Amino acid sequence: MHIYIFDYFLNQKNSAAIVAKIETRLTDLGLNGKNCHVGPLKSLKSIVKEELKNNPKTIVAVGNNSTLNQLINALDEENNTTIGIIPVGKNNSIAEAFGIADEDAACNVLSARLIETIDLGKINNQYFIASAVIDNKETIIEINGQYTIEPAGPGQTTIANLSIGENAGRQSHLNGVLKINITINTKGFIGRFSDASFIQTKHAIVNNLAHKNFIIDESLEIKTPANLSVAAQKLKVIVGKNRLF
Amino acid sequence: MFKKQEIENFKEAESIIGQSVKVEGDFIGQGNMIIEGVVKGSVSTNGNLRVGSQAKISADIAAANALISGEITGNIKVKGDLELEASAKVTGDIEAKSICVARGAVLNGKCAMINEKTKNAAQQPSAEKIEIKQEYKEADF
Repeated sequence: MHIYIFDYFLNQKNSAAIVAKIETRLTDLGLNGKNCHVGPLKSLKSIVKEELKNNPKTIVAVGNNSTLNQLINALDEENNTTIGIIPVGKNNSIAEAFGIADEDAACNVLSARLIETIDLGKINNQYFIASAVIDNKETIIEINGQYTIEPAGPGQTTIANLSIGENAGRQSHLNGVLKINITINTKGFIGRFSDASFIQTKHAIVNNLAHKNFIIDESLEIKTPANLSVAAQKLKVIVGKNRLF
Repeated sequence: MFKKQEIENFKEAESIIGQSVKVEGDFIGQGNMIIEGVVKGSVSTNGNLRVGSQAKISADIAAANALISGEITGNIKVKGDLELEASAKVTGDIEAKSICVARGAVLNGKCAMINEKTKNAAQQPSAEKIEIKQEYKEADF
């Protein structure tokens, strides 16, 4: 059985048309299941915990990066349920990385049911699919307890499990390592230029003396110090043909 | 010599340290490394190492092959080829199978070449000692 969890922002009147369109399309494809709507008295976490008791075949997040991140963190540690996404609105870079362009494409992808098992990143007790980003200022990164890295300029540090965006390209989704990209933006005489550093590691501890927070999956803030690692082959997801891995 | 293979060797570097980044500790890697920033401690890799002209390293270095353009204070131990470019400044001992030093490079330290003969020579003294002891024993009788 399929469970569809509609995020809170889709309860507004201006989203009613899109929600109806998605429900109709799912019915046409024979994918109708139970529709749950996140509300003021019903959090996504509580919906997931309730529905997991019925051992659903698939749980689909209807929303954006934030919806998907909340879903993966609501699942049990030993969970074996397959996850899907129907992207609606902005902030859907993870769905794009999965090869899902919009809500129409998402329904077709769910119908095709192409499943991949992916690694998840873990930051303190929170999982993330794509990346954790923090400002460079006063950031210190300790790698495997062996050495520390300190960026000495303005910019950002991205710790990626799955690289997304224009420069991502094709990549492995099961390499069991985190990719740390440090970008420093400086002004030269002619113009701006950026200096890039790159390290791969299975474990890192990041601290920020200016008390800046990590932003994971472009949606949630996590405080430092942060302990980062990889949860290998942790999640089964339904993906499209044009996925980035 | 080194430059013909340079692009191929560093095309897929596993680790890159940019100019504005500082590393402290035992910087250990498995693949190719490019260092353009500041490193203190030790640097070790099974792959190739490239030290850029802006790099400042205060560390002992161990690599398969190395191309040095920057400043190094520490000993360098390379299993294969070591090349010091014109802007290289090395204060420390170097050990490699083959060495290329460009005009203008600065090297203050000992230089040792490793090959099969020097490896065997290092192992021979123990065998000679055993033969001498046997001769003395025979002479006693």
